[in-house]
Parts: sequence; C-alpha cells; structure tokens
Amino acid sequence: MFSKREYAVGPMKHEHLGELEELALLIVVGLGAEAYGVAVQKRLERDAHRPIALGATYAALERLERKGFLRSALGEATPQRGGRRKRMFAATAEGRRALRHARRTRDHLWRLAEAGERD
Amino acid sequence: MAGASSRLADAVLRLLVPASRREEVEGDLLELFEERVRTRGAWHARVRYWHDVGTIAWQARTVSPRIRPAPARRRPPSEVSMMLSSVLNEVKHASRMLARRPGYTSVAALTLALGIGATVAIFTVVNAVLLRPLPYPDSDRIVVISQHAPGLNMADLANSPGLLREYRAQARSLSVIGGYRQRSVNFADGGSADRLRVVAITPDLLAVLAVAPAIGRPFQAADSQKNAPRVALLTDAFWRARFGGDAAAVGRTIKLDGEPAEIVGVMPPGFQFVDPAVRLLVPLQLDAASQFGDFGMTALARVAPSSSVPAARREIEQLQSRIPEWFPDLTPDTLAKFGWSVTVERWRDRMVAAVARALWVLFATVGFVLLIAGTNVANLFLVRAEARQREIAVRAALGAGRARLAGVFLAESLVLALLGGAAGVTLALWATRLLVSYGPAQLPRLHEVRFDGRVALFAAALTLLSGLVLGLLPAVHAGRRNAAALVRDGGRGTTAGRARHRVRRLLIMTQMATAVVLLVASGLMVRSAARLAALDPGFEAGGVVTAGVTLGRHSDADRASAFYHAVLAEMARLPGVESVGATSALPIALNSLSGGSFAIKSRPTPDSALPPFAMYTAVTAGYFETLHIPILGGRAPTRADVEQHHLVAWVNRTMLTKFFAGAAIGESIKFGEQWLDVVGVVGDVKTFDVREPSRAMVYVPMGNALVPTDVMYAVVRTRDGAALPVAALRSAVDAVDRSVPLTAIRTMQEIVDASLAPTSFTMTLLTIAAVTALALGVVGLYGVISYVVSQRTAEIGIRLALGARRTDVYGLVLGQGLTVALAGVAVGLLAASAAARLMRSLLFEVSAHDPVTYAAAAAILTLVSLGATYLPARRAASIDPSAALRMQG
Repeated sequence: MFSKREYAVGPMKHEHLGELEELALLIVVGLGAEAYGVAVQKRLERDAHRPIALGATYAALERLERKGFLRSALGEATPQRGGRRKRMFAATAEGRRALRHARRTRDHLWRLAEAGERD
Repeated sequence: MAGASSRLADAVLRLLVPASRREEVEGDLLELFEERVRTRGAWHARVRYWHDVGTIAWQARTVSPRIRPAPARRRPPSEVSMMLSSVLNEVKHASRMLARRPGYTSVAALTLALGIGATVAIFTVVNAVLLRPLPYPDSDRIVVISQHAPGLNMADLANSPGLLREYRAQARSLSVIGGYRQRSVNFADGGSADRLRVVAITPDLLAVLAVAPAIGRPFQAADSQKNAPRVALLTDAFWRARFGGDAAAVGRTIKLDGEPAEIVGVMPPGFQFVDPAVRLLVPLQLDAASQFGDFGMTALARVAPSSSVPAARREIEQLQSRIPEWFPDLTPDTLAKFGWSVTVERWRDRMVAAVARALWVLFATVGFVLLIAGTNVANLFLVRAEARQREIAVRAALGAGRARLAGVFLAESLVLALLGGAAGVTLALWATRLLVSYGPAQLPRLHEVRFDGRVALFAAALTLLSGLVLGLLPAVHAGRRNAAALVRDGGRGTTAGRARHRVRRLLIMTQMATAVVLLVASGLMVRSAARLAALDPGFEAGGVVTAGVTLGRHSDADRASAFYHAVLAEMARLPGVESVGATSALPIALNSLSGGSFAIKSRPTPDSALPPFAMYTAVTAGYFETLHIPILGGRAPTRADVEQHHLVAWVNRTMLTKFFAGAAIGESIKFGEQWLDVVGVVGDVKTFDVREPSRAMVYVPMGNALVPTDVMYAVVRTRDGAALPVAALRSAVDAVDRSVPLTAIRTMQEIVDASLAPTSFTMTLLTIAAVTALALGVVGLYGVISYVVSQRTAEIGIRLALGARRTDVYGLVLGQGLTVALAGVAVGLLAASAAARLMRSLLFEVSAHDPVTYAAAAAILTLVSLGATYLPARRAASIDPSAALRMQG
C-alpha cells in the first residue's frame, strides 16, 4: 500500500512562486502602505487583466504568507466600509528576493528566446 | 452587511468564516459591492457579491489553514467517522457527476423546484390560515356562540345582549363571555375628519381574548353603561401614526362622531382584532335591562379551564330550552317556528370555514403537481441510472455491497433534491408574496401569512422525502440486476427488458392520470367562473363609480337629505357625468343592508304564521336610472318623495311574485309603525352575492325613518364609461362641506369582481397548476418515448431491413405512447370523478360530473400525447437500417 505523505506547513527554503502569486506579490510591493485584499484584487483585474474573485485573491495572499513572502496585520478602523478594519499586507525581505529572482529568471529566458528567434 | 446583499449570504459567511476574520472579509465585500453598484449597477454588483461569497466559502473550507487548524493528533478513524467520510465521498462524487452534466442537472432540479415551490407556497397559506392558532393566548379555548333562525330568513343572527346576560349568569363551562360589533366612526383630532374602522366591545371581551392594554387601563363595566362618558382604546399602529407613540396621548380627548371621547389606553404592538384595518376599540354601550332582541352582536367566550369545547356546546344547547323562562313573551312554539338553534364553534374554525375547503383542494392540487414533477425527475433518473450501469457493475465487481451501490444513487438524488428544494423555497417565498398581494380580500388571516419555522420544517421534510424516494427507486432497480452480466455485455442489449419499461410506463401513466385530474378540476372551476361571469346582476356595472359620503349621525333628517342632494347636484355637474343617484346600501357590496318583517294591508298574516320578511334600503331620485335597473311598473322616485316625506315604497320583482301574486301597485305595506304605499315595481338586483337568488327587497325614499342617513353611497355614471378622478368626487363634496369624509371609492365593476374573487382566485391557481401538470406530463411522455426509441434503434433497424414499412414503425411507436397515455386518461377520469366530489361546494351551476369538462380534459390529453409521441415516432421511422445495424456491431 501507499505510505502516508505528510505536508510540511510553514516557510520552506527556495519556495516556488506561482504566476498568480508572483503577480499578487508584485502588486503588494507596488501598493506599498495601501496593500489589502480589495486593492490587490482591483489591480489584478484592471492592470494585470486577470478577472478574479475575492476568494481566489485571498487564497493567493494566504499562500504567499504561508511561504513567508508576505506578512499581514489588521489596520486601523476608518469611517469607510462601515468602520470595518482592513488586513494590510507587506512583502518580507524574502518576498522581495523571490520577486527579483523571478524577474532575473524571466529576463534570462527572454534573452534566450530572442536569441533563438534570430537563429 | 446592511443593504449590501442578501441575509442568506451573510449567514453563509457566518457559518464558514471564523469570527476572527469576518470583519476584514465583510469590509472587503462591502467595499467592492458599493463600488460595483456605482460603476456597474446593482444587478452586476449582487451577482459578483454572491460569486465572491462562494469563492471565499470554498477557500475557507479547502485551502486556508488559518481558518481550519489541523487536528492536533491523528487518531485511528472511528466507525462513525468512516461511514461519515464514505457518505461525504459519495456526496462529493455525486456533486461532481451532476456538475459535469449541467443540462440534466438543471432540468431535474428546476422540475423539482417547481413542485416543491408550489407545494411550499400553498402550505405557507394553509399554515397561516388553517393551522396556526389565532394570535391570542390559549386561543383554541375561544368559541363563538351564534343563534340561528332560518324561519325568519336570518340564517345567522349572531347574538343579542339579553341572551348574553343570561348565558353569563347560567353557563358554568364558560369562564368569560363578551361581545362585539364592527362599525365606522368619524374621527377628528383637531384637523380634518377621517372615517375609521372601529370595534365596539363589551368590557369583558378583552378578558376573553386574554389581552390587556400596554399603556393605560382596559374598559370597565361602567364604560358600557348608557350615557357613560365616552372612552376609547387605540391600537399600537394608530397610536404611533397619529400620536407619534407619545405616552401622553393617554388621557387626551378626541372626537368620535362629533362627541368627545377620552383615550384611556393603548393596546400592545401586534394586537389585532377582527381586521387589521381596525384603529380603535370603543365600549359597546348596552341597555342593562335589554330584552331578547337586538341581534347582530358577535359573541365570543373563553371555555373554562375545567371544561372543553364540546362540553360548552352541550351546555349552551341545553340552555336554549330555558329561553321562554328568561323572556316570557317568547313561547317554545314561536321558537320552533323560527327554526331556532344555536352553534358553539371554535372561533378559528368559524373564521376560516368558508375557505378551508378551497385551500385544502389547492393544497392537494399542488401535491399532485409535485407528484408529477417528481415522476418526471424519477424518469430522468432511471434513464441516467441505466447509462451508469457500467460504472455500477464495475463497482459491484470490485466488491461494493448493495447498500453502497444504493448509496451512489441516494447521494445523487439527495444532492438534486437539495438543489431543487433550495430553488423551490426561493420560488415559494416569491409566490407567497404574490399570493398575499393578489389574494382575495375575503381570504381571512391573509395578513398573517408568512414563512415560519413550521413552513421551513415542511420544506425541509418535503425536500428530504423527494430525495429519498427518488434515490431509492433506481437503487431498488439496480440492486436487482445481475452485475456479472452487465460487465460482460456492457449493458448494451438490443431490446430493453420488459421489467425495466414497466416501471417507466407506470410512472408515465400515473403522470397522465394526475394531469387529467387537475385538468378536470381546473376545467370545472373555469366553467363555474364562466357561469358566474355570465350571471346578470340586475344592473349595468360598466361606467359607474360609487363613493360613500359619510355625514355621520345627524339629528335633523331634513338637513341631512338637503346635504346629500347638494352633493349629488355637485357631482352631476362634473364633466362627463351622465347621471347620479344615491342609496343607503349598494347591491352585493355588503354595506349596512337591513331587513325586517312587514304586514300587507290587503292580506293580513294569520297569527299562526310568521310575518313576511324583506330587506330594505333608501334611495334618491336617479338611483335606478344610474344603475340601469329597469322600472317594471309604476313611477320612478323623485326629489319630492324625499323633500315632502312621501310614505311610498318600491318593491322588486321577487317581492312582487312572492307576496303580491303579480300586482303590487296600490297595495299598502307596514314596516315598523308606518304604512307605505307601493308606487312602483323595479327589476331584481343581486342582494348579497352574485351566486344567490335576489332577496325580496323594498326601496323607500331617502330620509324615511326606517333607514338612517349616516352614510349614503353615491352612484355616478359617466358618458362612454369615462374615468372619474377621485379628486373630482372629493371636490364635489368639498363644495358642500369640507369636513365630511369620502370613503370606499370603487367602481361598480370592482364590487362585482370582489364578489367573484374567491372563485376566480381558486380558478386561476388551479388552472396554473393544471397547465404546469400538463406541460410536465407531456415532457415526461416525450422523454420516455424518445428514450425507448433510442434504445430500440437496433431493433427497428432490423425490422426495416426485414421489410417492415415506415408506417409500421410509426404505428409501433405511436401505439406504444398512446397505450400508456390512454390508460392514464382512463385512470385519471375515474380518479377525477372521485376527487371532484370534494369540490362540489366550490362549483357554481356545474355538476361535479360535468361531461363536457371530462370529455375536454380527455381530448386535450390525448391530442397532446399524440403530439409528444409523434416526434420520436418520426425519428424512428427515418432510421437508416444499415446505419443502425453498423452501430450495433
């Protein structure tokens, strides 16, 4: 029979970044102090042209947090949205590193691709 | 989430998202919702809102560890949890299977929704009107005591203060007895006057209801003495609307019918009595020494805790024999002539007696619709089950037990039923709202209709039951089959087995039979309604507007008459008005029509016989002319009749033939103390209800002492039926006296329609049910015959290859469909003739066995079945034999 597989929970080294995660992380960095669920969702829809449900946005942000790329905390109450607080997100140093890594990988692959086309 | 979207969505969130995260999630949802309403509109926002709630719920259940912490330690799973997880697995599997076939799923779920929705909707009404207790403590102990005297032409006399006094003194089984009368008063509190519905009650009536005022004091015995200072109790709604909910209103003085009355209290919120439109309670002032007469007061009593309703009924019935003791001018002989009797019924039963039959018939009807819908889904389900034979066989071969295999179908049917139930309840909520706003006003307790716990329980039980029945059907079916054989040939026989088709045929036959029953029921109602609509009410309703002009109690009859004449003259001057008149009671409208016994000078009543009895009403010149009531002999009423107090009367045709043998003009009749000369005969008009034959009727000139002039109903006929704005009528009254209220502005047609409303309501609902049943039945028949044809493709191909003609194939398929349909029609006709007997009281001049209706129902069903079978037959006849055989290979 099969052996039981245990999944580790918590940050791992060299976590992989999914495409949606990469976009969400990049948006959090771009939003700075204004990064919370709705803001990320809106940017995903408007600027990344990704029609996405709020639940899926939460899922992505949560995965990023579990991987240690994001941290979050509840913000201050404001008169907007019926006085309900927002969960604010910020990229960790590891998150920024992962983004830079992803970008370098992409740039490298683009160069290879362009070289290939020229052949 | 105030106003953002539905409460249901919030409940979903509360259920699935832990409290620690709810705030941020709700905030995000609200923010997005508000922005989407601004940019894309409310509809888009709501759809996206639900979508988001769905994805969050899904994410909360499946992904998020923050939301669902992992169990601390793994224990070996218990038996129960194993079973539970296996059930969950089945449900998950079933959901996936259903999601993969959205067409099948939505058709099946919507069909179920239709049946469940209709049943739940009618149950909501049945529950509120027939099942729920009245809104008073221990209300099933409240009884209504009514006296009856058919010999006096008065089927229901209600009760009288004199009798009540004696019952109070004698009856041991009743702890408290009270009485009430409904009336209207002119209410003034400073500004303009309003006409208000009030109930005049004896002080102990509140004890019968077991309700006390929330503020102030209840009525006391002294309040009901003649000439006691006037007092009033306000309902909560009226108190809030007119006095802003100010506690200082208690103790204030208002004017009722021009006389001062002190507000002594306010009833608790939610208190309702007789009619939600009632605004005030006033004491019923009684003469302490009152005699036997003065009937018309409704008597309510609370049965003593030590007694019961039947015991109270026996006691009151026995007390009837002592009436001659209490009222010496009555002899047992007179009472016998009256046909004297008493009934003691639960108040609730009395209130709903008139509609109970119709509601139960409707409930049975929607039950039938549910049955038909369920049958359709069962058929779809059986077809699906057959398509899944392979899967089932494999599962069986891998060692799945019978129970496990049954579980496969049960899971799917339960998921389907839940989908159908949820959609059905939504449908029911919507339909109930529609029923309440368009239901006939005569339906008692309609304002109490709402969705409560019992309805929810009923809906849940219905859903579960549908799921179970549906799931067990193919499970029983599948359980019997030989798994090994199925794996071998893959379930691809050439002809379907007989047993398999027998179940399906039986289902279709049931459906057809049920559809026939409903078609007959609705057909009988349609014929009744047509008969009712064709009845001649005796007047021409088209183009006539009526309005109540309420002067109130007025001591001077001449000044009252002058006032009404002035108002009529103003109305006659309005543009487009052809003629005007007025009466103290409109036909059919059931407002303050009185009756009494009278004497005829030329033929005195022998002492041994009961005197003749007639209804009477006061009219002005122009009344008969305006309603187009023909004057059959003699002269029409004139203004001089009113102004010079002519002691004259008009009789209707019924009275002419009943009491005067065809010649009434010149006769004298005596009502009360005055002799009236009959100067004219007019045509019959329907008196209380269009269904009843007209009563004997006497018309006297307005102002005659017989009929008070508190309120007169103006009738106004316009040229070519032009509409007359309310403002115009109001201005006509204002021109004479601004303080006089104008009430009950209705067209004569509305009055006639209201009288027909219970019939048309039942008819409309039954017809909708029947059409739905027919449509579902036809779809079912079509589906099954198509399926049979597709299963028999190979066989038909072989037949064609062997030389069968296309017409033979037509005959084969049509014959198969029609046999089932005709068997259904036959069974249905028999069932309908049994069921229609229950409807007899709802029908009007149509026999419960009306052959036309039965024939029409049978014909419609046969024709429609022919259509439903023809399409598959044509497909069968066009089968290409070589292709069919190749397909087999």
